[in-house]
Amino acid sequence: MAKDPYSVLGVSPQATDEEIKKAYRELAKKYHPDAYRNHPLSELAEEKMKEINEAYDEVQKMRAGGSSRTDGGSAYSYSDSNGSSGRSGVYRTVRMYIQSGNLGGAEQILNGIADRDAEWYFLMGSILYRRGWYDDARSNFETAASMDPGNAEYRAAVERMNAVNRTGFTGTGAGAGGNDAFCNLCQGLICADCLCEACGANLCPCIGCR
Amino acid sequence: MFGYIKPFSPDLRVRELEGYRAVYCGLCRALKKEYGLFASLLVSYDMTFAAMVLTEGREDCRFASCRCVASPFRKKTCAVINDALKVAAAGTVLTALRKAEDDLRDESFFKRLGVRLYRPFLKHWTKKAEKKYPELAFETGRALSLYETLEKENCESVDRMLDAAGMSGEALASYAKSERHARAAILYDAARFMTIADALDDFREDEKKGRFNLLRARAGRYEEAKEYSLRYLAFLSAGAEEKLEKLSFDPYQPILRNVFLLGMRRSLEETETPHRKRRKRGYPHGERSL
Repeated sequence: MAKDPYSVLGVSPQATDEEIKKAYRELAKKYHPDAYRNHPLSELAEEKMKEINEAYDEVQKMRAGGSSRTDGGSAYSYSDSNGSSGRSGVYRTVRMYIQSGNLGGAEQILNGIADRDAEWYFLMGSILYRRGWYDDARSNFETAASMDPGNAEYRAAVERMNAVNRTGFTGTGAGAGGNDAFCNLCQGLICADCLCEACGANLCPCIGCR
Repeated sequence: MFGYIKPFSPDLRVRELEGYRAVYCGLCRALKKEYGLFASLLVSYDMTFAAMVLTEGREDCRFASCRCVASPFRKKTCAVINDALKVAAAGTVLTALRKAEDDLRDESFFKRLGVRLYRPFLKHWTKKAEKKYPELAFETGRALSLYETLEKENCESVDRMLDAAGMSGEALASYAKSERHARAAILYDAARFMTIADALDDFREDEKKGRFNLLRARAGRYEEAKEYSLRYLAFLSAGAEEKLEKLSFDPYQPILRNVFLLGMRRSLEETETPHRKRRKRGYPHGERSL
């Protein structure tokens, strides 16, 4: 699961550049590969180190990039070669990344775009949803829908976030305990699958209309 | 630690309920063995859940008969101490110190006095845990520090605060030998739920005292906060199933599922009733049928 870069570093987005550097140094010291040679947790340390480095780079980019860049640079310029207008090509790439599970890559691209339209918020919402940040995901979907009220995809996403049913508690309705758990399970799966499909992914191939 | 992550026992099979109690007993024994007799007072439902998530497989899950300090005349079935229980015990100790420090700030005079009495023990136990599980100690500390920082900043993003809390759950999975990501993800969601449930439980009091409560960013009144929490839980439960599938070899999987689908919801419902009136087991009071 791709994580928010500030979370990986363990700092708040309001942290100063100095605090971020300090956090990075502390982490790099802790998970330094030399300390984990021949250590049972070497795989974990390696993974963490990679995550930390990526997060640090990402935060630097986000802070340096600032608001003046509408172009975003080389991260996605190759997609222009498809012949479509720059922006929709970029978004196509982002969707592809999301679908293949590369949330980090998708988020990096989006973060590089300063001019944020409805689709930007929709795609960001999808990334946040996959990461489990349901509240922020919903805000993003709502922003997308309000910026582009005619768009069915965005509206559907908002409706699905709102339609999540609160499953029954006492288990009396369904009789034997097993039944109730199963109903909740199915309901949960269906909801999760619908939401995933709204974002272009597919949680459960056997559920839904696509 | 707060007891929000527990199963809804009426819907557990008898052998599952016994298994659950055995793990609880196992955690108590692990705390006693690794940290000393008084440490076993820290045993909680939440860390019992963690121990179940971290169990490697059927071979890792053995029960034995043993005497219990709390009820010396009855022998009980308890889980043989395995790595999962040791990690859960360490997690218990590491988070207990933070909780004690929180209580020092928030709670009443008498409670504070009590906390001051056992804090030195906690510090000693924490040092032990840090030695045995340095990565866990490091990550838990980081997660809780971040949470505190965000709290001080009155962070508006519920998700970000929950993420910080969730990190301490994830950390427990650092030592898992298999399916580390799935286990970490489940513990992440569980820790996030615990934070929401605790926020909901404290909502009315925090409102009165003007303290920060992470649900206040999204709800003005208790009823709205509860609605919000139930919705969030629905998403968590839906996501949990996918992760639980990966743990099909874990003999406690049905109990874990019960926790996500039924137990957690019960915890949120329970926040309506004051602590004293809450039933530990079984259906809440009131009319019902089978």
